[in-house]
Amino acid sequence: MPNQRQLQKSQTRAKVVDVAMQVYAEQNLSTSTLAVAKAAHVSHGTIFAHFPTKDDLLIAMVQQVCTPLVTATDAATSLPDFLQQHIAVLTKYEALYRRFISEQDALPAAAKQVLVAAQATVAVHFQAALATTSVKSIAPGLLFNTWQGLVQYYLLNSEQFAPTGSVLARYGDTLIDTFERLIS
Amino acid sequence: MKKCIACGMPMRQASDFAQGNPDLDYCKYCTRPDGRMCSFEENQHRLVNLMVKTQGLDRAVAVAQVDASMRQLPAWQAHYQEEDR
Repeated sequence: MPNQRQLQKSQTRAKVVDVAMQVYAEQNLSTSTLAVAKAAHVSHGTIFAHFPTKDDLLIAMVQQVCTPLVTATDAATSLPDFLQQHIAVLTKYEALYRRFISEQDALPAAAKQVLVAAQATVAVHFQAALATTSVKSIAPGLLFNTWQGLVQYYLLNSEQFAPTGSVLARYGDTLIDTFERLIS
Repeated sequence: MKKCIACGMPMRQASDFAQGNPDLDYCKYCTRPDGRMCSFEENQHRLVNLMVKTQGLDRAVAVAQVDASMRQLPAWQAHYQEEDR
């Protein structure tokens, strides 16, 4: 059982990641860790005590988004369920996920690797969900990429589709319905 | 929850494990017909094919991505230590 000090340490770490996710989602991935410290009301030294470099903080943020993406899609029992679970997690982390895909070059190699590995696992879960239903005879990779392309196009061009608010909250159901009708 | 030492897949139920045996450290996909764990090359081949199939990746890119993933897995540490020497 963790002692009081360990508990406090892990709470501070979680708080730093949580605030960093908000700050980087609102600003961009080039934002300094000093801005995170100010927003979290902790010293800059506290950030470095938990994350020796900014890259370590970026890796933790990517993991924080990728873990639920992998877990939720793994639990999907059908293709519609997969699509809904996928959209639900992406909607929750929409602004930050958009940064991850639009500013990939600002991510360290280890964070990119986490994204790539999560994408590969989500693709396998997509294929498992596909097997539960009857769809057009199209290569699974192309079906997955078509879904990804649809979602990412709306994410990357959200200003044109939903200038205010979440583009996935507004169009998620439409994208799911359209994709299902396209492939069945 | 245990993860397969050879591919990283989470193993939640007995049927996910090799031979349906939760005492083993590898999954049903990383198992040879005789029950032993697949070799490095067999696993690499399977995972590369899976990536090409599920994401349509260029094979050389898939090989590099699988290599980066396998480097993190416990089953292949000795292999990479030998390779990096």
